[in-house]
Amino acid sequence: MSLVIALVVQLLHLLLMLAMAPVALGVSRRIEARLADRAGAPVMQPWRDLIRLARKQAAFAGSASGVFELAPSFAFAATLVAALLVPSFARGMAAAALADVVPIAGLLLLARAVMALAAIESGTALGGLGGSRAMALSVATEPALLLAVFSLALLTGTTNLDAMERVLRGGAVGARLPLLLALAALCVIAVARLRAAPMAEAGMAHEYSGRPLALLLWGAALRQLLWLGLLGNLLLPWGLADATGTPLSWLVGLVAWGAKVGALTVALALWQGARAVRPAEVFLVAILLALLAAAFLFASQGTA
Amino acid sequence: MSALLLPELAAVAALLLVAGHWLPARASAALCGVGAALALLFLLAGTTASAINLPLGLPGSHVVLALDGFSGFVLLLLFVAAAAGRAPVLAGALALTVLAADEFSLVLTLEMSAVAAAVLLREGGRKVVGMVGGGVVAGLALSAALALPTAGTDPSFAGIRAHPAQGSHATAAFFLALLGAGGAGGLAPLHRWLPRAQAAASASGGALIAGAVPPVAAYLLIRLVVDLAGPAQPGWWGGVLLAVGATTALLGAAQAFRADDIRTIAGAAATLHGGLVAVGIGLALVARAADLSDLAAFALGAAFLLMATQAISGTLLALAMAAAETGAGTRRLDRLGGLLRGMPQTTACVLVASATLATVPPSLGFAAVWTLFQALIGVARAGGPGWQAVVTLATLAVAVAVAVGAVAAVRLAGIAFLGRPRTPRAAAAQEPPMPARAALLSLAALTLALGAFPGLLLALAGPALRRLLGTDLSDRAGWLVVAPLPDAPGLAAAALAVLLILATLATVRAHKLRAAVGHHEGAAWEGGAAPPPPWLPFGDPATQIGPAGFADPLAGAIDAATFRPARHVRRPWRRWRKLSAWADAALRPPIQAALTALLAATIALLLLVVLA
Repeated sequence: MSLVIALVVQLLHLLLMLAMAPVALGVSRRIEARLADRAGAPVMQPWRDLIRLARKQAAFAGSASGVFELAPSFAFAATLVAALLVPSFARGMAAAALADVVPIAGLLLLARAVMALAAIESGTALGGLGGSRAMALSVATEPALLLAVFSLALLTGTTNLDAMERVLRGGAVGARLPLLLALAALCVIAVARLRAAPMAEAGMAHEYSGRPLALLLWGAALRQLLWLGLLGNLLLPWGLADATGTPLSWLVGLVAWGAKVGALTVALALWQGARAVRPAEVFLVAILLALLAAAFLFASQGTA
Repeated sequence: MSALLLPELAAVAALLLVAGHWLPARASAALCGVGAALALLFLLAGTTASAINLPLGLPGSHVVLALDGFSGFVLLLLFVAAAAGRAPVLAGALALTVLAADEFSLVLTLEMSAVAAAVLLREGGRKVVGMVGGGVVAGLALSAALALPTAGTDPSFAGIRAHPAQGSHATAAFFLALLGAGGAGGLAPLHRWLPRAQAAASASGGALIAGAVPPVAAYLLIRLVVDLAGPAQPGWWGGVLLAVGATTALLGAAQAFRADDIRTIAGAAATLHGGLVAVGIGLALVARAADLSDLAAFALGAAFLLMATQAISGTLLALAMAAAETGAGTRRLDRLGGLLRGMPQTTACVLVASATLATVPPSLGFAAVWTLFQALIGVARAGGPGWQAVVTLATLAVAVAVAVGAVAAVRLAGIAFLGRPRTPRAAAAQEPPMPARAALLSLAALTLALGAFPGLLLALAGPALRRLLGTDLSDRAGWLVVAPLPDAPGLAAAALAVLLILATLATVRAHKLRAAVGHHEGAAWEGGAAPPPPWLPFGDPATQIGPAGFADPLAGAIDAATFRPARHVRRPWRRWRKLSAWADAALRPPIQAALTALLAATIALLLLVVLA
């Protein structure tokens, strides 16, 4: 019985992520536009774009192969599996045992690598540049991400997101400096990913149209929501419902999740300084924060 | 039962060594298959260690051959790689190296391996001399390392194990073993030969140099440093291995993402994984010195997974690169491109091997690196303050090497096999003939299967772990889940693979709903550029990204981060050109300079605070 409920919650989580990803993107674009003194597009504009694109015929270059045609589906699937593992409104979902942070990062890397391969396959200048830039940015953020996870795992005793969230919520770790530094490193990585990746992704998407393009845009929106959810779980580990609880508690969890993601969306939009992200600087800042986290952790001898 | 398997395995190895040159390719592949089956049988049917003495060798001594769980596991990997790569003589010599259980026969078989590898080189002269000479130096170092404990009185492994060296003798033996085995396996600073030999070897025989030599070298290192040296050795040996391994991994990754020769890239990938294996061995030594044999078994299990990655996926990558060289007539990245059209099956195999090099789930490489990462966390948690600083820096190096390896994998698979052909010859590339293609496809299938079920490999490595450390991973590595601690959540690679397949199928299905939308074909849009003229049948070469261009953003970032002058800064009219360019690069981004200083200060702080 509890397995069935866990599966139901998992399914609800999936539908929530799929439905809310374009909305969250619309909200953050709207806030950015208002900050730049523009009216901005309606919040539902990304959804409208997806529906419009889904109705259009796709145009493929005659020279394109099956790799090029299947890549958006595969990249979207990898992002989807990653999104499946990051809890939103409830913990203890069916896939909670799989929700290790390292495979989640690996699945996002898989999506990126597949899109870079497809961009090279298109044989165009912009595609190749986008692919190369996306992979360079990946080197700037991936090591820092692993190092931040390393510090978090030393603090919480696990790399599983569900278990990590449980330890952080229990307050055994508290608001200690190493934790804050590791989370700051994660924030820098998230900002770099969400701010700089769209430029590279635009290059990689530039030979796509119709439904494949819709999948790419939806996948990018899903990645933004995934990062916000990940940060929300670690920075503000409160308010999650238990998967075995009542539907009312799920509703409370849903409201808490909305508040967390909303706050993070606003904070992200306000982060104006990160407009031009240079991979070398991201790398140095994020690595610096993650190393400082480890250093203070060892100095305080507080490993779990 | 298992006592009978040693003579049979030795006979297979000797037959390959002696007759391999004359055997037809299928017969030697079948013989390697028999060897793999015998090794698997040994691992499954209870691994009673056995030894035989042969009345050969120097006066007053025997040649001792022995088989235990550890050598059985390595023989399995070796024969699987050898069944695909066509170098039976080298395979036989390496198998005898693994079976050898005394100083004399170990050195003899190692020299035979060096000569067998030198024969595979296409170019004669200096490279052959270098290979044989390197083998002699490695053999001498290992011989000295083995002779130190017993002063040569009992040169068999059993005798050395009974009287392990102590104090400075043990330290000298450790460094000699590191020199010999590290040199043979391509660890820094002796890492340069492996990619070069890989590039210089014949197309059919080079795969074993990248795929089988490094695991056998890692076997020698583990045998000497973990097994024969005994458990009562200091933990700083592990620290040395961590430093050497992390450096090797970084150097291998840096070469893999910048090299222009596809076979050199395959060799550099082997260097990268060899460095990670050394990190795993180092972690096991640190954990064992702290009396944490469960953690040591986990770290050594990571090293075994990485050795399997080298033997299976590394051989696959090297074989596929050899197939591309034969099929397209060149091994330069900037003359390849679009091989997918002519060689679809080889391309599929390359994508599988690239997934392992890029460490994306659910590949074999990901399972191995995930296990290594958990071992790093475990040692950092358990070790004293000094170890924590060392392990943190090693984690950083491993993470950077792995991330750069992902760029190398995308660059190799993308530039050589996808996109438009860069030369007419590449456009006319052809698949390899059937036996070679079957080897590629079966290795790719094996890589995929083991990536989804890494627990099976760890179960096969159980006898080896029990033999070396007295404990295994049976409580942590099951069929479906590999976990760092019993009853803890871990990596469920098979479940991830199933989810990924389901999600892909669902997405493709949803994509095809309302098929009336359909699609149409035309020329590539290319940002509105005019279609290429008819005399450019493969499009304009200048508008397609090349190998140098793809590596450029990362290379530029690395140059900037290390204050190397950017390549476009040229001031030929200044004598102090170098200095001014250096100052230019250092001063222009002052933020970056400050950040790097802070980074250095943090590393210093990390070292000072925890050591104090």
